[in-house]
Amino acid sequence: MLKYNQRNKFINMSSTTLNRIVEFYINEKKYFAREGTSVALALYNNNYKKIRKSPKLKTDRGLFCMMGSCQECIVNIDGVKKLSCISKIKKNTKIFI
Amino acid sequence: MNNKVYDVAIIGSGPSGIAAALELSKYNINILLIDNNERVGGQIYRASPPEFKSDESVEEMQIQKDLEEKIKKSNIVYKPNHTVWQISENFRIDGFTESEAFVWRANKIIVATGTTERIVPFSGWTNPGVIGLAATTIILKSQQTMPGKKIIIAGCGPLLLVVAYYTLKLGGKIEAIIDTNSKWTWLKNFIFLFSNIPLFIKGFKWILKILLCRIPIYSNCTVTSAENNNDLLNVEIKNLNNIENSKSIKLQCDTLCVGHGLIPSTDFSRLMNAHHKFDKYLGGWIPEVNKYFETSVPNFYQIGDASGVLGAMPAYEKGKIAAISIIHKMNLLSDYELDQQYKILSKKLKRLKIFGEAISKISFPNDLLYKQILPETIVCRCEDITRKDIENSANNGAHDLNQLKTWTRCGMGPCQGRTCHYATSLVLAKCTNKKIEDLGYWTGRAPVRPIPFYVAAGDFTYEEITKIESTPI
Repeated sequence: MLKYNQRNKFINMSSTTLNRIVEFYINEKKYFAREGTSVALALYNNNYKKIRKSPKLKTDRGLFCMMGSCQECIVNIDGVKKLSCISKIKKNTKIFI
Repeated sequence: MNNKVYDVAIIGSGPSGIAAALELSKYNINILLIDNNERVGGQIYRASPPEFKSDESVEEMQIQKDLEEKIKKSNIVYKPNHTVWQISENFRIDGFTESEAFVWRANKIIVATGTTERIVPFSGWTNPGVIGLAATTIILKSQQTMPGKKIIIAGCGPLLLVVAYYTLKLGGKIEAIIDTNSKWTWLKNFIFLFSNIPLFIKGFKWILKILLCRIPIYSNCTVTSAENNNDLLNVEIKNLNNIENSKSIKLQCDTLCVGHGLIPSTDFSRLMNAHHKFDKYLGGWIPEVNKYFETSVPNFYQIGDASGVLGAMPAYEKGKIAAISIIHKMNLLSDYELDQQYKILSKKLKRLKIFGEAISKISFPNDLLYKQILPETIVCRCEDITRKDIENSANNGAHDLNQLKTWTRCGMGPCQGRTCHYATSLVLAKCTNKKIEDLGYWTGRAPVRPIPFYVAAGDFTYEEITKIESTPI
């Protein structure tokens, strides 16, 4: 239990205290994330895992390679279709999926 | 358009790209360093975005900071956030950012684009929630968070350990580790790992942590299916030696991280029509290079993991070797000095290679994994091509990869075959009874990365458009 607590402390230290938390919108619904977070991850962690339909079989797709190679995570960010894994959350970023 | 011609253009600012750039910058050479990430370091020293205030979660960040500092101090023209989508015959490099397109020219090109991930498909691998192992390391290293609350790590190679270690360090919960290698494979390569003591100790630390946390490890097993069940994934695991008949173990998780080793990125060398060879343990298709890592296209170098997966430390040496060859070509280094420096560097590289090759052997997927690809399993994710589709076209006469491409559009999607190259070769090899190396590789085609149309078009006025006179009838 102690070990677990120590680890928890670690997360708090690196994730929230020092960083700016900004608001952003997914389908016009307000969410919060650390400024600079990858858009793909922000979507994933807010349970928007299904972000695209495949062209032929129309199956659900989501975040996959995280390095701008597979092109699966393209979403509409501030009116432009972009790779969400290498795009960042800024204040008032508007995402539509 | 910028008319300046750079002496050397380096694509990719990972360990080897930086090593080459820093070596070249000691001589008064115009260097252009292009990278599509925001910060230097490639994927191994992947840093957090500058908005994040703390980098303390990963030890490698100190190395990354040093490299960043060195690049800043040097005379290197560094272009982060620039993606290259084409290199043409006369060494014209086309790139773009979010808002603009660029053209650069260079006399010599060094490609250090690293690797992409190889994943052998299984039923449900395209479902949201199934992500790459390398993708997970990026999330853990640069985003300093976990991709899920309850994860399963599957596949083969050292990335299993890396992901497990950092997940535990960040306080994540790992349901299970599923390794396609048996413990025997690890032991067989164990002795070679002593060739690099610091890395060995690091690895040992990772293993110890995993064992101490009592994570269940399934050796010699593979994930055969992952089905969505509300927010969770139902994962089925089977023994590798008997995939068809053995009883499956059922587990649940919210994120399945899976990867079967790394493949060298040969996008640009294929685009330039360099000769390639197949080397299973170096990751697959790699460009044929001479001892200075120059490909069959003169003045076109390919270094780092992009010329054979060996890891970050050999990549440094490869970068330096390519750099001294270029310095010699520019008459800034005598034949004797080149020989001397080459001897030192190649000796170092040879020693580091022992470790890299042992790791590569653990990273290459077992051929038996073929059995987990069912007829209706999607092989090419971009175009939704199943194993059945590939087999049908093979029966109709598609006998190599390029024929298959025209038959099915397999590998023609937005990812340009980066994700499915190995899996497609594997399926086609099995149904045509050929070896993977006899099937060839997909011809490189530009754009290597999709380029937004508004960027390609750029800003222009109506007057600037060249009007073509209509054809007389």
